[in-house]
Amino acid sequence: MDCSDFQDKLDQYLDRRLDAGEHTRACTHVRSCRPCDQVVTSFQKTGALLRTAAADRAAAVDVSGLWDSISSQLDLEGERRPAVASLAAAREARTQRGLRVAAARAIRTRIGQLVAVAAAAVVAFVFLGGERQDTTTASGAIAQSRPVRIESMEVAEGHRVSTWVKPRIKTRVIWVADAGDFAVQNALDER
Amino acid sequence: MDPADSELVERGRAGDRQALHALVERYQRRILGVVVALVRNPEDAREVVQESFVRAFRSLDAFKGDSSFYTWLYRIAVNQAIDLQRRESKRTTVEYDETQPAGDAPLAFGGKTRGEDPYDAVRNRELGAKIFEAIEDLTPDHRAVILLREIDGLSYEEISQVLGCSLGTVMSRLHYARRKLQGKLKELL
Repeated sequence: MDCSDFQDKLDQYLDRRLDAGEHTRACTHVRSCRPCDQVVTSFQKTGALLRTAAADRAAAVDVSGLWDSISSQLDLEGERRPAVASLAAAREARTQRGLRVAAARAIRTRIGQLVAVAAAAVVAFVFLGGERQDTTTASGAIAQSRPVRIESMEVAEGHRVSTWVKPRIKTRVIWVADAGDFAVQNALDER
Repeated sequence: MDPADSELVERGRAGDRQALHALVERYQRRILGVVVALVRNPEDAREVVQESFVRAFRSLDAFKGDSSFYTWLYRIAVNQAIDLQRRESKRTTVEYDETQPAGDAPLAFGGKTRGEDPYDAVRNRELGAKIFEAIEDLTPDHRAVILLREIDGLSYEEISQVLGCSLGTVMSRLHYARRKLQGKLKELL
């Protein structure tokens, strides 16, 4: 085997893909050819340094809590969110949520703008008397409702529940909002 | 005796979260090993690994068992990492690390010397950083092939299966990537 033949088969020699006979001839050539031996050595050294560098990088990554993150994402995606097609879409969704949270916090500092709340607000109407009624919601939409029985309710961390009855239309209102909004509402009630 | 992957997958399909947890514990570091070499920073690597496990667990019903669970997961992770690299390569912004002295190449992160001579440890870490600079000059496809071969020791057939390309393509990309790296690193080795 000459140098040209050996160079053609170099990758397969490095990756041990030559048959026994060719491998023997290649080894014989490397032992007797200093330039080819140096090429083999440099390729092998590159591979070894690459593995070391990759191991260093991997060791520096903190994977504690990875399972918790995966489990939480499985819970969220199973309950509320549509499937995210790509990592970029997930990042964009997180960015947009962050922008919405930041904007909502800025608005809350201004008295009288209670309606601009970023937190989830759920309003359930329980009607006394069993009749279907149409009501106007805070946003101005018309809500058509039937009597419902609420057995239990879970509220996300950081949110509070307030409930009251509107006697004129015999309606019980359940308001779930970010805890910070109640400070604004209390200030309005006290005026 | 630890349960086999097939048993954990079946239990995972039935909703057993402990089984899924066991699969994460079993493979997170191995998956991370190649992902962190493919992407630029550790935060992206962690996110790719997380997203890969989530995708795999959401698609467990589609896993037919014609490859091992690890190979299937590995394929998801590598392709996620390659997709991220392709998007990153289209960006025109340049990251600037203020902690690095101007003009110096950043060292590979991680400070373990593994008991070797300190001078050799520093020298090898600098070489490692140079190697990753050279690696990042390759296209995502060439990078993936050489990293799968050199870091994880996958055979050509396994690389072909993971990347979804022909054996001939694997061989030609590996040939090109090795020579390009040699060209960039020959003065250092």
